[in-house]
Amino acid sequence: MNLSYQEKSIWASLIITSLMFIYYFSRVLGVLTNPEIPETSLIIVFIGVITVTIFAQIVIQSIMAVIYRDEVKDGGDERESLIRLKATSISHYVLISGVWIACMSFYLNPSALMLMNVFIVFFVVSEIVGFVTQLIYYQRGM
Amino acid sequence: MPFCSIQNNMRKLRFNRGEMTQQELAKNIGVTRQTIIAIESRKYSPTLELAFKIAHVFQVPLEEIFQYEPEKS
Repeated sequence: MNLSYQEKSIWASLIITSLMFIYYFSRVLGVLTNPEIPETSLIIVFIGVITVTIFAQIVIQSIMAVIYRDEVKDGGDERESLIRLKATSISHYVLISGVWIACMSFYLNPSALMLMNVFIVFFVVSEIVGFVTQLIYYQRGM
Repeated sequence: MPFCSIQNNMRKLRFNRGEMTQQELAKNIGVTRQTIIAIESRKYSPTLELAFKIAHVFQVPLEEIFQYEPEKS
């Protein structure tokens, strides 16, 4: 498969985001199944995951930009902008649905941990949907 | 795979212009090579502005490059 710089960059973001949040949700599962682990420890894990994700993105995207410097174009062209806009629109609907579901879950189960994690789940899902949508549009066309 | 309803002769025109590469054309009109590939393979319909830029590079009228092909029902 012949991938453009943009596609490789999206794949990198998709893999980093997925790995980081698989780790985070495995820790959430640990807290839910083991009552001895304090819920507040998740805050530290969450901050750590966000920090590592940002750091990993900066390092990997910078390395890729150097390797594929001939393909890097400021802001992308009209096709890339359109793909990004369409993907953002779809990911926006997922995020909005998540906000509604989080509100309803808080009404049914008023727990701060629950509310925070439902928000995080939908934030991550919307990000992943955005990345996957872009990859589909790049491969399939519009 | 969806094909857009605008077909084009860009590959032929590039060939007639001394085998201009996709990269050269992309550089002339300010897009990536992937966008040229997508237009030529009918995976993307360019905006009117980009279509005019392409016509300007080849020095031909727009309709000589792009033709509308209605979808068969």
